Amino acid sequence: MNRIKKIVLGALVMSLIAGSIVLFQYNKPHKDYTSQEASIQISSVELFSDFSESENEANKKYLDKVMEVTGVILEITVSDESSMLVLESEDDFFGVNVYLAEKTNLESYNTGDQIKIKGRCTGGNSMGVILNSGTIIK
Amino acid sequence: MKIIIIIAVLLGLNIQVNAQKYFTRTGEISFFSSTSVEDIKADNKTITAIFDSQTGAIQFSVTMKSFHFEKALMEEHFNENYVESDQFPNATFSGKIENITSIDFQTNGTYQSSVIGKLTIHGVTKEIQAQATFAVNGQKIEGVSEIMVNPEDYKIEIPSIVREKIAQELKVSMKMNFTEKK
Repeated sequence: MNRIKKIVLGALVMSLIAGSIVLFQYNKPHKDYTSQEASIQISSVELFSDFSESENEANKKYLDKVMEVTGVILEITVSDESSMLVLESEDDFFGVNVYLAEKTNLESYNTGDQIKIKGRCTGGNSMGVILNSGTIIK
Repeated sequence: MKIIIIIAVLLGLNIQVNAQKYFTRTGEISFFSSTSVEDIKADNKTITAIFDSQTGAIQFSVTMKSFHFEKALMEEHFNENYVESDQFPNATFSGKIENITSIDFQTNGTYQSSVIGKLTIHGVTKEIQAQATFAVNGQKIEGVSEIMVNPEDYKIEIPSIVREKIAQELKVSMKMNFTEKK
């Protein structure tokens, strides 16, 4: 009897643990890229030209990496819910698109200013390089 | 003399063509799958799109890793198991707004149109056709469209174990707030 109790109890505990793991996995939080250290330092001009020269090679180097990018601001867009910046490249229109993690007041920044940001690269091509979870370093 | 006039006209046209592009870098694409088991929604607000109001040529670029899901686990499965975004990070569309001349970009209003072109997802390119609405409001143009996408058409394999949680066809909605390219 005692042995059966132990087995039942053991099975219960095991299924509880298994259930918690499944539930935890199912509800696990999103990765916080803003708190990750940058593994690459690069200029916006170089980053964009790497993507326009070879998407494949650039993806191998930069995809999913958190990086610090320095460049000149080409465009500033603040909408009701989000803020983004475009950093200059050799192209006169397309560049590195930085989507900030939080809506940020960018009034103190102007096009032509030099800026350093951190963000996670989700890919790119000749129509722009995408950096998400962006934060302004300086 | 005639040649000079022709050259002058061509030059004039060229300037006009260059000046007539509209773009966005914050276009939104979301998709929705609804079954009795589970509703799945994801959105991406980092779309770059550009079109030419003279020729109707239109292009989109979408990075798959920018799709945001409510559940981190779903986002992980989407990237790793379904669209394989490490291997195929971009989706693109390149096509034409068919009746571009019927849209009057100088007059506020809502215009119906049809867009055809090539959609590439997961490395597979398909010819698609979609109805789109362009709402002209001063310098701003809002483009809205909706298409149904069948993942199997793009060789996106969904394991049978989760097949019943994901709809056969996904509703993909697009909303782009275009501004004139100066």
